Amino acid sequence: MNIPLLSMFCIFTFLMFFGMPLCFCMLFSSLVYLLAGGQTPWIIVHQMFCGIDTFTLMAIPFFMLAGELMVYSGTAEKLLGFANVTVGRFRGGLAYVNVLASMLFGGCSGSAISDVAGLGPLEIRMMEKGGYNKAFSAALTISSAIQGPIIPPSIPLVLVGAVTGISIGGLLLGGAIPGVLVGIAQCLVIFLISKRRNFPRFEAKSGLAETAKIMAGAVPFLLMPFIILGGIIGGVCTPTEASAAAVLYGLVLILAYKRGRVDLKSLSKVFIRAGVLSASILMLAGASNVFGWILSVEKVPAALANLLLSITDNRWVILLILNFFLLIWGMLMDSLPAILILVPILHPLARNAGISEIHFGVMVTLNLAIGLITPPYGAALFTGSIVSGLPIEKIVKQMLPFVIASMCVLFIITYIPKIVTWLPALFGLL
Amino acid sequence: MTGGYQRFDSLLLKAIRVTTGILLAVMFVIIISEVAFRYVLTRSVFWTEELARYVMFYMVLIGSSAGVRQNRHPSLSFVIQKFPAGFQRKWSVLIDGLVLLVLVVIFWEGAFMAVDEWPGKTAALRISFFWVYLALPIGAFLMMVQIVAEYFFAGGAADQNDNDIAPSKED
Repeated sequence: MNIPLLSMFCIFTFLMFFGMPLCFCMLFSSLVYLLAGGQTPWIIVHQMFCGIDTFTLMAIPFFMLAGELMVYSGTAEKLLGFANVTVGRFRGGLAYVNVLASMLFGGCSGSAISDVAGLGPLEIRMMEKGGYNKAFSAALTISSAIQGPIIPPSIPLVLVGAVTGISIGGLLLGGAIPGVLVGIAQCLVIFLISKRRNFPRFEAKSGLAETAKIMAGAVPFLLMPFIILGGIIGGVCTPTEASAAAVLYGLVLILAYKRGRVDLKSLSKVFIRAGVLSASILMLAGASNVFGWILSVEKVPAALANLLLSITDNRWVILLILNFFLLIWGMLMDSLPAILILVPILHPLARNAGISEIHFGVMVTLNLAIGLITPPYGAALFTGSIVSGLPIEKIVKQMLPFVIASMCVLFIITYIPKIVTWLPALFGLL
Repeated sequence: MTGGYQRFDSLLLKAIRVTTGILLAVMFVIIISEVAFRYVLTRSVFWTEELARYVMFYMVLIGSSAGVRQNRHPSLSFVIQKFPAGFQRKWSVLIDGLVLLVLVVIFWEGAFMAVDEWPGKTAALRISFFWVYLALPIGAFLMMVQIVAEYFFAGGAADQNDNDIAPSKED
């Protein structure tokens, strides 16, 4: 029996569930492992440095910053206006507008939280004014935010790539179709319930010229995902440089649309917030590198893979087990920490089982994104509750059909990998 | 006298936060000029990537101390929230103690590594590794200060909260 490793696991699990910040939780249990095994704690600082000193990881703070800048630049209003003139006129129109706006916003930011925080208040207010139940509006706003971290650019997908070395361009492209599918599935739900609940129609007051003007005004904001993907796939720049370009583009949009009203104080706050937030995530990346180093020295991922393969070597069953496990884990933990903790262990397993790497990465991300909106721990759900001022229980009840629809998409992309891999294969990134 | 310490605490946290923001901005400028050098001046500069990485290392270690103070480090709280408030307070003191222990190790080992690696030079910039690894003891020290300061000046971070999420206004 490997006492140091066993005590590391026990201490880690216990402290994790009892509220110790995850990065210190990993470092402390690693420290116990090293000391119990008579090894030098120097490994901690060394592996921490190696974990943080990664060029691809730099895309994380930049994409976080770009997302914040897009919120600040007034993207939300423009995209909402665009969605309104496109799908607003159907029955339940504002509900479709909500989904479409989140889909478009997902192309500007790579996180569900910034979707709910940036776009959410506007969406909820808009739907409430349009005669929708507030709890339903909040539930839809939160559910539609799942698209944010899957549609490129995506912070979790970049992190998966940085941790595993899977092609980031391939992962981002792979997320595009599943992300849109989630939106379509949610629209189907709206279609089904809009008749039964007699959702109002939205009377479009704007004329053709007005509509054209709104659409044209949104174009610069809609270009973001194409600039990023184009840069990476076209070989113009690395994913990290593309993320910096996204920041530059965000700054240009702010200059163009805010002109004289750019106040340096709020702009510097955006930098500070993105800096502090990404510092915490990258610190966790450093800590998980220590943890991951110990796991690989002890050959834990290989042992886990053998264990699972000894139970079944059926790829479909393995995928089912992976999904189930990830969904549960995602309900308990934020997506980025979950990626840092789980993906180094699961990646070798998926590879041994013959699962395509890009398929695996997108699947993990969709699982964890669904976890963001489900209790007991759902960061997007919490943000939505703050933004709407409604208690979580009230929102959750209305969210169920949308969560089920998203899980159906998860099931479909799990068993039809082509949906994920088709686009990356088309660009030769598979 | 407490007032003076309190002002110092508040200033330190502000300095940490501003430094973090500036380091992020510096990283951005470095990477953008890397691309600009390549395409506009058509000659690649070989040391930009390394410089940006080390700036990021400092940003992570320094920014983490603000994260400690403002509870930004991801953690699971849904289990501990079920316990009575009195127990939660005592428990958080214990957790802080364990975190401090980890930080002492990072400080100590980081400082040793920095001094040990003094003769080594980085691949592109040719500066001593001492300056790179120095971020570890600096960051660990700042994090320790922030954890202890929260006990003396509870809520000292409240006025520097940068959370913009406000409940939507009923209109």
